Amino acid sequence: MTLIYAGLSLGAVYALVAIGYNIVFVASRSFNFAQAQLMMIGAFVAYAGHVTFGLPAVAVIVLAMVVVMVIAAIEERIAVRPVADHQTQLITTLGFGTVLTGLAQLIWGTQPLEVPFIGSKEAITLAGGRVYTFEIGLIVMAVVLVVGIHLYTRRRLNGLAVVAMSQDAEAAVLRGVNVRMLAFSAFAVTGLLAGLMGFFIGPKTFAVATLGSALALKGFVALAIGGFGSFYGGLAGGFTVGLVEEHAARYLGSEFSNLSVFAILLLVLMIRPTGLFGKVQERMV
Amino acid sequence: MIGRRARWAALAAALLALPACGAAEEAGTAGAAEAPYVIMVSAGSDAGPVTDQLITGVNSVKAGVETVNEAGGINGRQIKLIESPDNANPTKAVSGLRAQLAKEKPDAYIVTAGTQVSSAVAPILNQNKILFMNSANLDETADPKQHPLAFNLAASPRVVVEDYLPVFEAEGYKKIGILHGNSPYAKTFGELAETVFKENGYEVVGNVEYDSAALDMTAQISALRDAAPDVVVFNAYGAPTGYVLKGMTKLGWDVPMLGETSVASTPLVTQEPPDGLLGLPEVKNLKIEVNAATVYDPAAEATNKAVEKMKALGGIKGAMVNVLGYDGVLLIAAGAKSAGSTDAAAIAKALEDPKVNGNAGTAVYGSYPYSADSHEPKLPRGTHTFVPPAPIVNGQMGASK
Repeated sequence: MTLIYAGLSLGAVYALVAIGYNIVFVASRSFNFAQAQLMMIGAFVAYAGHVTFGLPAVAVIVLAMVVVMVIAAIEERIAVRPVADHQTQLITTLGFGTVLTGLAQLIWGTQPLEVPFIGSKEAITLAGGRVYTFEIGLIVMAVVLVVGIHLYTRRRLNGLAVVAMSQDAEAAVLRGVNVRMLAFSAFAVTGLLAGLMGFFIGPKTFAVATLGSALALKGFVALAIGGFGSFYGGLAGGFTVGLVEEHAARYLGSEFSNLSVFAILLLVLMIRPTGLFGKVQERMV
Repeated sequence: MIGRRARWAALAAALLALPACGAAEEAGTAGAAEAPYVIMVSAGSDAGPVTDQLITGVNSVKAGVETVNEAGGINGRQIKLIESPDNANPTKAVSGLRAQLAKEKPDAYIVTAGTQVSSAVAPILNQNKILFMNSANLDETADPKQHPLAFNLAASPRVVVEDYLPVFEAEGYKKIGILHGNSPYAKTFGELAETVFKENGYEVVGNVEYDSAALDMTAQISALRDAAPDVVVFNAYGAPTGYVLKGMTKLGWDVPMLGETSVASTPLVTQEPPDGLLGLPEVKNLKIEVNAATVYDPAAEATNKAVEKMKALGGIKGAMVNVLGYDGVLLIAAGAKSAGSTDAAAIAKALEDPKVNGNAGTAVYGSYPYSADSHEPKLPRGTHTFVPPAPIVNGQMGASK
């Protein structure tokens, strides 16, 4: 069970990155390759709120969410909006991520910093396995977020507008949807969530400048396995990557850990090119 | 008539020019004697996980240059330090070195962080007959047959590994578990540790590798726990150190842990909360491997002098193992003094003499036992000791701020 908990908590981290990728993808059909770096900044701001400013937990969460939301909004204005096509946005968001990594190194250094957790710091025994409480928190948070976002995009008018925009931007405009504002809001919301996620992943991963690059690739793999645009897919993809990584490292050796993850990715894409939960869209031409 | 006059004028000009040429040559010779001794160092401000090592390493070279220049320079030549802003990137380091060679050939080159940089620049330095002081562990720069002008400054992995043996004997450990990363040095450490421990009669019950980019070590630690070792020997730097310690605590595995020198260089284990883990359950079973210079000794004059110099230049991040560049500069000065020359080959020959490399006033190791057969310092067993984690300030434990 210990290994399953470890895989699920690690997978939850990847799933959280995939959620961020998905929100932007659904809203604007582009990828925000700085998403993992936004989470990394969230972890650092959580550290600063706890340790440097000595704020209470609620204030730390609000601080992390607001700071990262502002950064994400700035990213949308300088690295996404001025760029016309989505291919170029891959490069500009990647560049923005690199800038964030450099800034984090400049402000907080290159060594890992311990981010305190609001709950118990002790590991507990649960159904025969050992797990930290913050790891359980990560798993719960990933599931709750996905369910919440799914319900929002199905039942709220704004959520439906985002889905409409992702399916046909021109038709959405004709129906009165402010596409540009919604795309901007999607970035701001991913920033908001990245700040929240940073608060929760910090106790597991530490706040460290290399965190962004460590998460970016696996988050993308989680997304590809689950299917682009599917929030449940991102969650399933994240858990799959985490579980495969842990079990391969345990029983085959760490040399096979990444190999196994990419083998699973290839297998899934060969069987279902759109990913586990991805949908094929038909278009009249 | 005009042609004859022109010939006379040309002859007169040539005669006048001859003494001037001689004067210029003399000036050139005199200039060479007083010309600065040029040392180039791989430097920068953003080298990812090794940024602290790089910045501290470059500061250590600056401190060494200051010390030598205050003592009159290298055989009377003041040292001019040129920083290559390559951020420990081998491609940029090579470009920087080639650009410098096109302008002015450096007399010596120092690498303070980044094995890949050392590998990349070593052949160029060898080709151009430039003295090379290398802080990384590299087999080719330790071999004078391949690189006669290159010297390794770091303790060899074998010395680092062999210094575990007295602890095993004293504590009665028989079954050893090894946990190491997947960087070139970490792999060498893992392989060598298994070989040396087996050679000395210990049973290696597990030798597990982890991916240095991984965010969780539960799987690797579980595998090692199933092998039931008496002690876990491990190598890690930066965040992986924390993942290993948190993984051990999560599994509730109460086993002694011996971290090698890279663990001691990770501030996470030598800083108290909230920044670090010092004093927390994560480090209660941990001992870290340090060299003598890392433990403050008021009687260690050379070490304390270097630390004071470096404090003024921004301090030391990590342990004293990061300031080998200081010793590199002092070794060059000692070699030149003994050889009576600043010629690279003469300095290299002089450095093979124990009287020279043992009396250079170096800070990290008291001597660097090189020989004609090996340019890796053959440091004796006992160079390192194992101590419980304690706050490290300016590279040292037990020192005041």
